[in-house]
Amino acid sequence: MKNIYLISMFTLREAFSRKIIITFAGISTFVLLLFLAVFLSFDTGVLDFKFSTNGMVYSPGYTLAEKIQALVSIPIFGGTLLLSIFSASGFIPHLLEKGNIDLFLSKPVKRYELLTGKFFGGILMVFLNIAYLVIGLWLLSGIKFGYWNFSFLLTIPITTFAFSVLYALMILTGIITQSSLLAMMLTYLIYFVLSPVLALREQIAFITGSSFLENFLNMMFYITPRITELADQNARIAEKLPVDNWEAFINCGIFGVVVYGISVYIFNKKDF
Amino acid sequence: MNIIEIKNLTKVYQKRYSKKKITALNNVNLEIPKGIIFGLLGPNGAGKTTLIKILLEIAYPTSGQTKLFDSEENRTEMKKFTGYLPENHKYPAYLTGEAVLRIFGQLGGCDYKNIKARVSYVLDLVDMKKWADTKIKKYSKGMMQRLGLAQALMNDPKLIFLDEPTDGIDPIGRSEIREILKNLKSEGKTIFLNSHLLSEVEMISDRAAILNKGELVWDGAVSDLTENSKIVRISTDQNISDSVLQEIQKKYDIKKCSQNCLSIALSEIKDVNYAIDELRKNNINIISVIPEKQSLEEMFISLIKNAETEIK
Repeated sequence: MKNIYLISMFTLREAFSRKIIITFAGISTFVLLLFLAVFLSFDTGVLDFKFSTNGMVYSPGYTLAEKIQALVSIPIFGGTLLLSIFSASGFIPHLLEKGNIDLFLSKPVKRYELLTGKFFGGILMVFLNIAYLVIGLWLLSGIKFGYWNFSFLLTIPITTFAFSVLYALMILTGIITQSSLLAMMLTYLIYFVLSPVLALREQIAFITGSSFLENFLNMMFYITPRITELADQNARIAEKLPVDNWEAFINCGIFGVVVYGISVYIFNKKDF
Repeated sequence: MNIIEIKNLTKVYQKRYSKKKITALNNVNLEIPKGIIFGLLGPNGAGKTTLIKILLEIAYPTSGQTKLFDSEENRTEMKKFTGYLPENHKYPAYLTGEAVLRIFGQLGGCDYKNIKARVSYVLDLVDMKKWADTKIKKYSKGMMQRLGLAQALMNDPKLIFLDEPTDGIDPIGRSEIREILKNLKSEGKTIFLNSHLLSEVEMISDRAAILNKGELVWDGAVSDLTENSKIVRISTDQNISDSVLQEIQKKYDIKKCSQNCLSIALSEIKDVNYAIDELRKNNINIISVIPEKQSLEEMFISLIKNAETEIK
């Protein structure tokens, strides 16, 4: 555990020094300032009343805050994943560079500890960035509308979870190809192209009428991470709606574990 | 006790996307006793770095066994007692020298409480204390090598692997590093040195081995390698005439070096008497008869050439 902790901290330090965290924080600060400006520009006094039905308290201000949070949870999920994939893509190829990997492997560190340290370090970096943005927005809307929606904070672990699934894929690609560009491209392909297309697989199969395509899309649907569906669930949770698709979480979890397991196996066998 | 034992070690690399195989090491057998400086020599691509990598489990053998510290224990655990300076090592450029030593020291098993004192000690040892707080992107090649050596010594290892440790270091720096290595040896540490600088190996190594195209062509004491020569240099007080030379040449391969000095290659060392008799018969006085010590470089070249002729 000590080695995993040390390597995680080392990865975080790498992210700091490469200005990844600063850039992330800069973008998040810009978004927060934008919301602050928007919130300051209109008066919520007209929405500032409450009524109750069946023991539940309602307020137009609360509803507006909830809708805003649900709405921003979508770009937060997409935007932070986009940036996170970009910024974490170099971690593994950089580790595997000749002269660098030799140093790590010459130490009394097990190979799985090295990889897991890099994995957690990347996740920690993304978690900190997302937490800063989401908690900032939560505080701004809470102060503005007097409404404290704790469900919105679940965007932090859900987005971090989605990133960890894609990061596992980036690690595998990085180990096999040692190319940050390829790792990034493959991850973007799954996230931006495959996942949204597969979410619409039934409509596509219906339009084309091809049973081969239907079977192929179904197969892909079950073996690739359902990030688009995870994004939908994230928006629902932010809006305090119950999760209606646990399959997306389970599918992503299994995908992440299997892909990470394969990465560790290959990394353990590899010559450097 | 042997600190390193290598038995029938073979490493074959399979080229990616091709069936072509490259044999980096072929049936290598080697035993290195504790407490010596061992020099591994060989031309580029001979398999020297691969051998170290296999010993440290950075790469895996295709067949054969390796043993460190005469123990079958888990190699990861054994690495607590080893230090390694890789060739062309890369440290993160954004770190300071001190930060590099702290990070890799902790990974190497250094106690967190003592790490500050250890960093200070090794920086002092390699004469890098004044650069401790400077980011390593500003370091020269020589400074990087010194830092690399300090890094390899962080966990106070019993066995130290150094791959081209003096690469990029000026002659004064090299001599300082040689002194450090001699001191480490006097502390009972074993040093495994990979170097293409033959004179350096000759100066500090107790034992050496020569690898060529993955095969061990020689292994033994450095003194055996350089003194096992049958060339004799005879100096005289007057010029040696061509007629005398022709007479001697009937029996020996003469490498005349000047008018009053000649080097002869003997099949047996006692044969030098014939040459002396010939010179004395012609009233030529002999000042000295000195067996020539072949340099490691000459021996190295000759061994490599012989090995290649055998392969052909």
